[in-house]
Amino acid sequence: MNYHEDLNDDLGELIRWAFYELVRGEEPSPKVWLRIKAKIKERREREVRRRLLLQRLSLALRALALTIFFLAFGNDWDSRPVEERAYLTWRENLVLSTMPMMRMMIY
Amino acid sequence: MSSNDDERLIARVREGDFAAFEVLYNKYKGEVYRTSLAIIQDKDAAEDILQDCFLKLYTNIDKIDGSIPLSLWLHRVTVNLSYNWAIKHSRWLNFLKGMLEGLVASNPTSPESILEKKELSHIVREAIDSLKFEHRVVLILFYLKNFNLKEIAYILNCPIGTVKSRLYYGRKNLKRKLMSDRILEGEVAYELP
Repeated sequence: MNYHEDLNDDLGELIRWAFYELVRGEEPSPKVWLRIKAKIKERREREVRRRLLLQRLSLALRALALTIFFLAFGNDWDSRPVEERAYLTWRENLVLSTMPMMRMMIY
Repeated sequence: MSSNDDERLIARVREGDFAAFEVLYNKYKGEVYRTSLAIIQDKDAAEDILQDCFLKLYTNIDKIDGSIPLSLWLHRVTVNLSYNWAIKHSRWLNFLKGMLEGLVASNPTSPESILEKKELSHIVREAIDSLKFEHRVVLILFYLKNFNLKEIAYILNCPIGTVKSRLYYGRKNLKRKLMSDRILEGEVAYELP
C-alpha cells in the first residue's frame, strides 16, 4: 500500500464526504463579478487621474523652470562678466542655486 | 479547458482584453469560492476573498508564471487571504451550525436518515474545525480539492515533507477526536452515505 492509498482509507473518505457536504452546490453570487468590474474600473480611472496629474505637474514644473530662467536672463541682464562686476546679481544667485533642481525637472 | 488555454487567456488580458478576464473568472470562481468557504465557513467572507483573489490576479497579471497552472496560483492566494481573514476574525474555530444544518436538511431523504447524516456531518465538521488552521487547510486541499502533495506544497509555499507531516497530524488528531466522539472505533463505525 503506498502513501496515497493510505490517505484514501475510511477516515479519508469520511473527511472527503464531510467537506463535499459542506460546499456542495455552493456558488458565489453574481454580485461578486459586478463588484470586481466596478473595482477594476475605479482603479483604471484612478490610474488615469494619477497620470494626468503627473503630466500637469511636470508641465507646471517645466514652466516654473523656464520662468526662473527668463527672470534670470531677462532685460536688465548685466552682460559684463562676473569678474568685472565683482558681484552676482540676485537673479544669478537664484539661477545657480536652482540649477540642480531645474536639471532634475527638465530631464 | 487546458492550461494552454489559460495562458492564451492571460496573454489576452495582458493586452487589455477584459472579456478574457471574465472567461477566467467564470472558469475558476466556483473552485476559489468553495475552497475559501471550506476554510472559513462564512459565505460573505468567501465572496470577499473571491473578489480580492481576482483583483490580485488582475493587478499581477504581468507577473503570472505561465509554467505553473493558474489554479495553483489562485489557490495559493485564496489560502493566504483566508488565513488573513481567519487571523483577523478569529472565527475559524466557530461552527456555523445553521449553514451546515441547512445543507444537510436539503437532502430529500427519510427523517431518520436526515437526523443520522446531520448528526454525523455535524460531529465530523466539529472535529475538523477543532484542528489547527494549517492541518485543516492541508486536509481541504487534499480531500476536497484533490491536489497532490507537490501541488499543495506549492500552494502553501512549504516543502513536501511539511505537507506530509501536516496531513499526518491532521488525520491523527481528527481520528483521535472522532474516536473520543465514538464515530471511529478503530475503523469507521458509520456506513458512509
